[in-house]
Amino acid sequence: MEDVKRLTALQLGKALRAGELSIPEVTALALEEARCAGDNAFITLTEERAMERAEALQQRRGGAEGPLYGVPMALKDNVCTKDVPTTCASRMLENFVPSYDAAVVEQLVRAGGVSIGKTNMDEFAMGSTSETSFFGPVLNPWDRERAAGGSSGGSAAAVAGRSCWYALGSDTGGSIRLPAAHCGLTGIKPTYGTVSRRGLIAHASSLDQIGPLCKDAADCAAVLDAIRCHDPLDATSRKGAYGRLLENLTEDVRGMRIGLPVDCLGAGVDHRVREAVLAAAEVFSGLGARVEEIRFPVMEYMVPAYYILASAEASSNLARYDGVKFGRRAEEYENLSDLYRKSRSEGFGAEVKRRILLGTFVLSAGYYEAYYQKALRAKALIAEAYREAFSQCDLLLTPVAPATAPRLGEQLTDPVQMYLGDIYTVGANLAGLPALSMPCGRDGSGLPIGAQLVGPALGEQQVLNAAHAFQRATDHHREGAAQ
Amino acid sequence: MEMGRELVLGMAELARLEVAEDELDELAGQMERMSAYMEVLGSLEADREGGGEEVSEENTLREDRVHPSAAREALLKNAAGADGEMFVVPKAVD
Repeated sequence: MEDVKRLTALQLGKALRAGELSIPEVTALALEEARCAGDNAFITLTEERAMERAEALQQRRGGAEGPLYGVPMALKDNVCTKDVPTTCASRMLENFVPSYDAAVVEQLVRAGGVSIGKTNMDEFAMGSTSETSFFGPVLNPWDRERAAGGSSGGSAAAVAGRSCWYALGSDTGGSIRLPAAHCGLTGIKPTYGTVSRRGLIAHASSLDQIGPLCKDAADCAAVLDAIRCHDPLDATSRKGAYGRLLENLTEDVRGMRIGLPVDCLGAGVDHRVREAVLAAAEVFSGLGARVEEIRFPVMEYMVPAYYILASAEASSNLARYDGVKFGRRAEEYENLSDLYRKSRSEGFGAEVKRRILLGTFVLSAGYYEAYYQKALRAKALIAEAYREAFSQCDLLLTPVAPATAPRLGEQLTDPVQMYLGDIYTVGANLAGLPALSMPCGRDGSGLPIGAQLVGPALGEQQVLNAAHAFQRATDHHREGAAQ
Repeated sequence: MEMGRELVLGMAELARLEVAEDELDELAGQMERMSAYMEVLGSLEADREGGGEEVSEENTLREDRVHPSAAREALLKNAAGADGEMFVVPKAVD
């Protein structure tokens, strides 16, 4: 059964359809691994529910199941699940139980997914290491003394630790791609608007997107096919033709123009990360792609613009947590304002409070123009820089992060240092573009290094094709964590 | 820019958050570092019209038809203070 855990989601789906394995059997295997993993990847394991679902799916098999039918998976704990606690890894929502499923959950149910539980994360998706969780940090399966990346660290650890075959995360500034890179997985943030945010507990509404963390690009294609749609109940949902990414996946990248922004490979990047990304560029050249260095002169605006806009939106989104309709309510208070103040102060952790304060500041009278409106201008310049880049090339290739997984606690003492680690990922969120992280090597300690492919809007097919081609020519994505 | 204790306390009041006395200085220092880092945007013109997003969509409208709302019980079940019919809060108006 150890070999079963090494399968990709698509390989497992095929084995289930062929009757080589049963859905209850693999679900029980997943749950046992999740129980024993010791990586704090899960906040809630839904064992009884998962086994009931597995039995029902096994009974219902008729031969026309989709590629992910019966495959055990996990959901980040900011995705609402009916009658299952959804905590956002926060004391504020410790006892919150939604009365509805998020749109992506409805779609994975239709696709035959078996959720084994809700994964740990940075509190309210604010963080890059999955250490700010009220329920304790997520441990990286590659090295338990290191962080798994964030904020979808639990989802990454669950897949990398072989507790499930794929997981959903959310990405506001890199929160799928960074844990994917630190845990040796492939993860993709889709084009803004192509995956419904209905039922995703909001961090920054103009930046948030749900996406998959998987063992390879083909699995990502299959999961995206299942979850992308136009949702009339999400006002930011984009109409389009969805559902054929896996069918159209190809490893032919001949003639593809891949831009290598030199501004992303200078000082500040660990030399082993730089070498691994340049080696990935060589692989693409060998496959017939045209790799060219390009200038991308907006890097200095990325992190400031992102943190101003994301914290501004977060301060607005988190205003709903006031102890009245849901979430933690203080037990002692003198009046309504005091109820709000005490409930919020007791419910939120330090990083969340810091970002709410920052967001309040940049939106406040006297500072709004100097910060928020200038950040909007920077966002427009960044979007324009991407459009200019994509007039010359089909994809951009960059590092995912300046370094590999940090040691636990290393990044918590200096928030600005932590924010700087997002420099390569936030741009795709600001511009609403698809961006994928894939393993491309290891550092001197054996830790995985991620390369990022960014595409133009609705360019998921070319991003996935490039990643698929890379993974057909290399083995980095097959190297699992030692445990 | 300088982020004094008074500014941080002012923002905390707007955000309905309490900041303990022994947290103030460290928090002010962190926010000062963050705002200093953001000064790089100082040379840009303020954008008063929007963010130049890649995705632009028309307004999403639906037919003007009545649909059932969520059940009262479902809406109240996550409230720590509810009386079975309504959310209960301290008196706000004299």
